[in-house]
Amino acid sequence: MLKPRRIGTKLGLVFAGLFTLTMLLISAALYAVLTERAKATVGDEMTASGAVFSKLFLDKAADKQADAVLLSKDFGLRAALTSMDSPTIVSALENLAGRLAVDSIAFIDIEGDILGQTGQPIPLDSFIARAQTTDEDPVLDRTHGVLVKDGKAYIQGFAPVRAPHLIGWVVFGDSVTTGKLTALNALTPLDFDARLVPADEVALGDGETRNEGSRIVYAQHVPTLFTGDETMLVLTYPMADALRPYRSLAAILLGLMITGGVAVSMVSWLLARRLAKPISDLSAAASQLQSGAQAQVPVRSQDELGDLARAFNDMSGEIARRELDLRRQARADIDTGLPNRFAFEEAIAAQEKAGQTAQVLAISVERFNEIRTVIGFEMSANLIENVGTYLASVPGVDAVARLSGGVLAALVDCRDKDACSDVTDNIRKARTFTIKGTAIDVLFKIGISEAPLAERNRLGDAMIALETARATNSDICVFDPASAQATTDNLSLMGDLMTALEREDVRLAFQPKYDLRTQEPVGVEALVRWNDPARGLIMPDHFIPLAEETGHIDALSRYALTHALKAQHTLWDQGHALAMSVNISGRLIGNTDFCDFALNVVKDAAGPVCFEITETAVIADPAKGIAAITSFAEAGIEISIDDYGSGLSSLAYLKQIPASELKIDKAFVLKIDESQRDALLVRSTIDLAHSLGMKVTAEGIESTGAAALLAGMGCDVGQGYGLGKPMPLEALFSHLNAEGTLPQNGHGAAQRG
Amino acid sequence: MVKLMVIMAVLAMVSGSAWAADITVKMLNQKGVPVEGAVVTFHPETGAPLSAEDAAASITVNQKDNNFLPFISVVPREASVKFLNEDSVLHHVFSFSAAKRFSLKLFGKGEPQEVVFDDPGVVVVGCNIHDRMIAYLKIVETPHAGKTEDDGMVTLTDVPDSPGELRIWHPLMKGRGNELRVAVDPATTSDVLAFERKFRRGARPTGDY
Repeated sequence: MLKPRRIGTKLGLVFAGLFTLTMLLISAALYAVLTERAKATVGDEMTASGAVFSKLFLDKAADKQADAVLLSKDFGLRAALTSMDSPTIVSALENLAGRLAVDSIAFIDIEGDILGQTGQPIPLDSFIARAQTTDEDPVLDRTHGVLVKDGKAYIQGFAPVRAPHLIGWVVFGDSVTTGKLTALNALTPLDFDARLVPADEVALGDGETRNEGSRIVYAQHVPTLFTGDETMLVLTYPMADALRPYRSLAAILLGLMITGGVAVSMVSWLLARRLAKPISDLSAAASQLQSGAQAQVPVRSQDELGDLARAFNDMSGEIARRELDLRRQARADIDTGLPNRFAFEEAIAAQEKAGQTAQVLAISVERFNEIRTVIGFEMSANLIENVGTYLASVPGVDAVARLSGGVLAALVDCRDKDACSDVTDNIRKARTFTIKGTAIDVLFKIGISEAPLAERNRLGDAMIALETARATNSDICVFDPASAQATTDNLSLMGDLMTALEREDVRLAFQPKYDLRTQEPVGVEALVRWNDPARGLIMPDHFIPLAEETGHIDALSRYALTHALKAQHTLWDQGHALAMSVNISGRLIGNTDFCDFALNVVKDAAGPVCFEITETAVIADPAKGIAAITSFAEAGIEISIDDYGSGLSSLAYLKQIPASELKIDKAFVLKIDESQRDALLVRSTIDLAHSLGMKVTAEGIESTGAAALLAGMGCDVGQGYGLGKPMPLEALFSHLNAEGTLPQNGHGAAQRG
Repeated sequence: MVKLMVIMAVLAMVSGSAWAADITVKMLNQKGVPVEGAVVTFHPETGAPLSAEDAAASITVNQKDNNFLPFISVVPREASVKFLNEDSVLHHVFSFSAAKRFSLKLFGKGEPQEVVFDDPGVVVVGCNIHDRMIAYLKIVETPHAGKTEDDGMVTLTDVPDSPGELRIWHPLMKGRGNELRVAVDPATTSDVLAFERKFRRGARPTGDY
């Protein structure tokens, strides 16, 4: 079913429906009353007419009977009837029938024999039977009546024939045709259909009226000659005719129903429309509001709908105002009031849309955190605000924004590339800003995105360029798409690293460490080697810093530690009681999970385990770093300070770290036999370590000469290509078994690799 | 001729008295009420021819006050019945009976009419002008005939002492031919023969209906 969507249509339909229903109920009730009334009225007429009909029949029969009585006294007739001559009798009867004007007549003697008969044979059996069994005269209680036999109706009567004593009876019959009955209708006010019917075929009682479907039926007993022949007069009258007088009433009612229904539905529709109009206005305005446009609705009335419209208008205005606020806030930096990154992106987009090429500059106020620490938050914000104002004032700068703490952005119109670099040069000059009477020198570094690149964010590019500038400690850097690509490659490299760990493409290589005095191997250092099927051999210098940056160092270190300890077991099983040194990244020192893991696995180690850790591990968070290292040392793990001398070396940390070994960076060792200065440094470092209770390992020993020199300096342990390069476990076995001791001469510098 | 008939009658009377007997009949209706006017005849096996005297009997049926009097008459065969109008109006006396059909049209006072009845049977006589007038003539073939009195009794005297049939007829008696037939032997019957039969009510034709 189709459901109306509009309130007006709905209400119209509902009211029209209710009205129609009411009218239908009224009509039904009225019809019931009217039919009953019609039945009563017609029934009265029928009763009267029935009496008339009945009387007319009987009167006619009575008249005929009276005539028969008279005519049967005719002397000639009697002479004929007593003549015993059948043709004469029949002839006389025909004459009598003519005189009586009846269809048929018979002469029956007192013995019940039919002596003559004329016309259509009429039913005589009952009469004869009666005549034969009774001596009464008259033989019947009634002398006339009606009779229905085989669907035909008759009036009947009989009269005695006396000569002069009773010798028999003439019995006459006259059929009552429909025509005759209809003729009687002229006497009644209504045109009834009158029929004479055997009583046993009529369901109605005497004088009863009933509505039978579309007709009103009335029945009345009509006297018959014989009590067994009960006959009824049945009058029927069409209900439609009976209701004819009320037809105009029905027409009026129907008219009222239609006009009323139309009127009600129209009025309710109009009313509902008046009600619904403000609602639909509101609905439309709400949709408008939703789509972001301003929307107001006309206030038409002072009722609830008017209140609603006013409230809506207020709300709409409020929403617009807030949206404006939000927009403004969304586009401005809260601290400085400068446009923010969002606004800047819009400016870039607008310019790109206009088809102009512009450089995007990420400009950092160097050492901004330190400056802020000194001058405070508020003044630093003032500073940035001033910087922004300054940048905006530089000719060629179209837009300025603050991106983060000390970083601003500028959009430089660069239709002319030379002019553009002039602008940049202009900006990069150090400036002094005076904030509340305090002069602050500001140094800028600039990252530049020169042109838009497909699928790259220009501000992002400029920021990367800025980072590069910082990293390379240059004032200015232009974004290089190639380096960005390298970064992407590195990311995929780290993804592959995890696969490689699973597939054990990452192998460990072991470099032996020798006691320089006894020339016996005392340990091995485990080093990772990644042989990628696609990329080939990837150097640890390349992927370990990446793994440290991306957090993959955790998995890699666990892998390395687990495999190294397993290898140590194998070594010890083979009779090589060597210490196992594993590099532990400074990034992992603060990682409690990893530390727990490490402590746990080391418990089952075959022999001494040494963690080689760089000093930088403790610089980021010295307390936590030293605590972790201490916990390692307490667990029996030897701690070795790796790459000593290459980076920032702090004597304070050196004192605090519970290390048992110090590894001198190979940079000092490689040229020890050439550089007097390096030799001096190494010697004093060895002394320093020894004085702190640590043994000293020298890395990067490439020659036996260097080894001997170091041994002479008191260095405890040596490691390097000259003594043994990193090798797979199997190779290590053969190396150890073949030589057993420090090679006397050997593997030259040419083998480094 | 007349002289011869008289002689024969005398002879008959003499001979009759030589072996005579009486039969007395009493007729009652269904309520035990004596019935007047019942015609009783005796028909001996030996036969009982009517005498000339019998045939010569003169029987009168009067019309008086628009009534026939008497209502029932016993008429020996071949006897003549005189219809005597004593009313001031004319009567039209007729009969459609098989025994004798006649029509005596419109005769008045002092115009007596005679009808001879040759055949035995019942002749119902009416007046064509006055429907209620009715009379019955019982034409008999036996000399032993009589009509009950108002006590319902009649005595047939000098009947032959021979077995025969006793017949009692009355127009209102129920039964075939309105007649009762009984075999009797007068020699052995000395008591009154009483009979009880059903009778219809009313002596006159009922009204028109």
